[in-house]
Amino acid sequence: MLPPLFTPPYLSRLETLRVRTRRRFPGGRPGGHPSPRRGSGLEFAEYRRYAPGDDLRYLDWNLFARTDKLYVKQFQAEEELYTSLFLDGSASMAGPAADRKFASARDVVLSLAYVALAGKDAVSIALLGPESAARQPPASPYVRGRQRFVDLAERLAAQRPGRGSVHVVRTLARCLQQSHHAGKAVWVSDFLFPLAALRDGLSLFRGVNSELTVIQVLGRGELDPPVYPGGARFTDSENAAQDLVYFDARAKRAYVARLERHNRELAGLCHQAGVRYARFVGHADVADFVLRELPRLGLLR
Amino acid sequence: MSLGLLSPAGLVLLLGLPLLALPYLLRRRHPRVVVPALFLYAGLPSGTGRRTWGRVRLPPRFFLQLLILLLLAAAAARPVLRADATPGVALVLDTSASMQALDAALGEPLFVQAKAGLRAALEQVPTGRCVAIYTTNPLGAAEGHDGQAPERLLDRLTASDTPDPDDEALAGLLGRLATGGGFERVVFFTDREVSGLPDDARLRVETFGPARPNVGIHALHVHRSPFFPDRVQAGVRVGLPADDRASWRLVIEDGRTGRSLGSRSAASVDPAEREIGTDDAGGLRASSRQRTFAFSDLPRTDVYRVRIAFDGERADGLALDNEAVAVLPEPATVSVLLVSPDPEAGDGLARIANLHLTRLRPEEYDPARTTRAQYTCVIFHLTTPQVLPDVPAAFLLPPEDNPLFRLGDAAPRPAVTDWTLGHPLTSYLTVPLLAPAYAHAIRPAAWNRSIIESTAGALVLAGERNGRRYVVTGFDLLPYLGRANLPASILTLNVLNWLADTDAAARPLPTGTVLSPRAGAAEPGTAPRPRLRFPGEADFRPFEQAVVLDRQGLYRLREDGTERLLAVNLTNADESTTGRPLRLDIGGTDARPEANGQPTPEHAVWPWLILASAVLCCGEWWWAGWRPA
Repeated sequence: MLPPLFTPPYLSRLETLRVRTRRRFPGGRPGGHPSPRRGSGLEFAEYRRYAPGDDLRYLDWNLFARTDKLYVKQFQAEEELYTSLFLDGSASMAGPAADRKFASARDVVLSLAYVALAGKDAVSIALLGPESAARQPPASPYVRGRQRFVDLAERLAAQRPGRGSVHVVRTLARCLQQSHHAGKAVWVSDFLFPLAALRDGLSLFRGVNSELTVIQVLGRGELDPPVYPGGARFTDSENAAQDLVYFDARAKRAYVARLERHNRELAGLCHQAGVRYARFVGHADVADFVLRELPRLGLLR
Repeated sequence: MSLGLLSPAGLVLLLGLPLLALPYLLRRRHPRVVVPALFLYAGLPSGTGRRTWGRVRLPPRFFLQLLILLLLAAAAARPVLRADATPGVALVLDTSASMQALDAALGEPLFVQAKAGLRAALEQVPTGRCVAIYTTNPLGAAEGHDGQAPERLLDRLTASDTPDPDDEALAGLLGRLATGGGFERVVFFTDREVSGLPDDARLRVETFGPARPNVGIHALHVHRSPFFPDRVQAGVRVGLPADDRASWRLVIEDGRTGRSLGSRSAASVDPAEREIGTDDAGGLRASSRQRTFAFSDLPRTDVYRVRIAFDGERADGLALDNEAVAVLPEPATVSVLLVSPDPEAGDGLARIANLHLTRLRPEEYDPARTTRAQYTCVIFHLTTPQVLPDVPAAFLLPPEDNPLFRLGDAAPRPAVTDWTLGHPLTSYLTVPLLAPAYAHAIRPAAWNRSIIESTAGALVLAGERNGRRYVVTGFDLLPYLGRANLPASILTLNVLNWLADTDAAARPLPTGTVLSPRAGAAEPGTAPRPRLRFPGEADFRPFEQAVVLDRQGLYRLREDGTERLLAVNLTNADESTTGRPLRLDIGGTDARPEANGQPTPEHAVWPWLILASAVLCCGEWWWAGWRPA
């Protein structure tokens, strides 16, 4: 069962998009993305001196006539793109419940997965949650073909944000160690954790030669939380730590400023690492975000 | 319009309002809010967190409930809106006992004249003006609050049996009415002159009288000898006007049956009667005098009633005090302390019935331990103390070197030459038969007088000092020999009887004391305040504010199916001398004016408060149901 967002018109529009990368990554199978390999593509790449055994069909006779030397034309190979999608499944994605952060993030991930599958790319989806870190493989194997989209959707539909703390870097490293290929990586999370962990995560992606795009999903209740002048016992969704906070208007102003500074530092960190950064606020339209915002950002084309 | 409260005590409910906040404070829990990242909330600056009371946050529903309770508390006080009445007239009617006196010229009660004057004053009040009618007994009691017409109010008012309030209290009431009562005129209808009135043009006093001369019973005392229980004597003190020439008789009757037990004529000159005359200490007017009448050998009955019966058509000025009632007391045991160097001399005394004798030697006598509560009297036999004791005492043959009495010549077997007739010490005594074997004459002092004289001088002296009776005999009465020496024995019993009577004579029954014939003794302060039923009258409701005197006489009290006979005495002489100030402890006064028999127009506010609170209750209920949990 697909999520309600994935109607035929929406899927049709997704099929018009392709995952865009700034670099070329080798793929395992022929596909629609330029590969650093030379191959039988349509786009001319370079000339190479003929060597015995080369296909005579690629000899450039005109150049032979001018230079009296045999050169073979080489073409750009077009291969599939390994697209790895990382969805934050920590408990922080479950709240605020009214904002449906996890559902929105899941729809974004599935939309990207469909775009990649429709573009003949290999897609892997990893759920970064405490349960996945403990029992099941965090990442799915790379799948190809849009017919596998339903499998991915059902797999994600069965997932819920886990309870308990998530060690981001350790979970991410485990995913990357598990049959990861260099390619496109998209990390969808609220990134509401200390940025030191993000810095380590970015280093991991750089280490596996992946081009990372970060999509931050925030809820409206996080940007404009209700006040509790009489005090409230704020509980961390992951480690259950508590703190009594008199969250009045003054405290709210300080919180909003602190969140903006956090997001600003997050964007700055991504910019320094050459990582694309996009923010999705929970109450917005996922389709609009995917179809308009991500192409504008350069993640899709 | 002015806002008033009919039940200000209802405002006490306001003290309970803080209790409403209690469940809110107890129930107040900090809500648990799950946030994605707690580090974003840690250490946030908060304005309310630093304020002590900023932490207390009450929901709007609390204030709604508080408003409801405020309205209910205000409604409990029964607020009313009063229309400002036009300043009117305060009419103060003297309802003291002296107003029952008859006018000297017209012969009608002064109270009737006063009510006629009050009616005339009412007719002069313009229509629509506020009129308040007050009485002096109880002082300052406002009449007319039940909305009756003034005429019906006046018909209902009667003169009480209570004495006049003193000038200070009366002047205070009139001053309050004139200055703070909001009246343009205050008129006081009375028979007396009031001193100390404020100099206020709005205050006017209308005096009625003078009253006819009054003959009244000031005191009735029934005495029962402890040694002769069947011997009953009664003493009656009658107050007389200075120029009393009326013909009247003093009749003593059985209080139950009305059977006459004896009578004395005002014109009779009985040796037992004694004219007291002017008594400044007693508060009598200089123009009045008193006479004391004694009735001896009265038949034994429960209740004695004394009344003054006038001969002919002549009516007394005040009929109220022409009757007095007394109850026969139970015979009391006489406790006698004998101080003698020869204690065995008291063996004869110890055989007297109803006499408890304690014997001490002179060196064992301690004046500090000899009180009236312990001993009825003390007999000093052949000795005297350094000072007169604080209890009634008899001194039998004091020694020559005693510090209290001066002795005269000693004489063997002195012959009795004179004695005082009618004195209790000589009652039933054939004095010439009293022939002591040895006697010392005693010289009288200023506070005593000679009762029995002999050829050697005074043999028996008697007198009172500081309210104590003392008897001195110049011869030895002991040992008591009974019938073997009848004159000495009779004199001994007379001495003991007279000394034992001191206590009762010095402690007159206070006004308003309810006497119980069965108990036989006064119960001041412990008797209930019964609702007395008069023959032929409706229930008599005693005053609740002023001193309760009731009407003197006998009353049949029915309580819980049982019947008791109560005697109420009126023994204060000042009540008969109407016009004399008598200090009373007056309760609170209510100086709220009433408008001409009709209550001041009032508009009740409290029903609207209750209605508003009911509406708010519905709103609160709707809110509680509408608001998500």
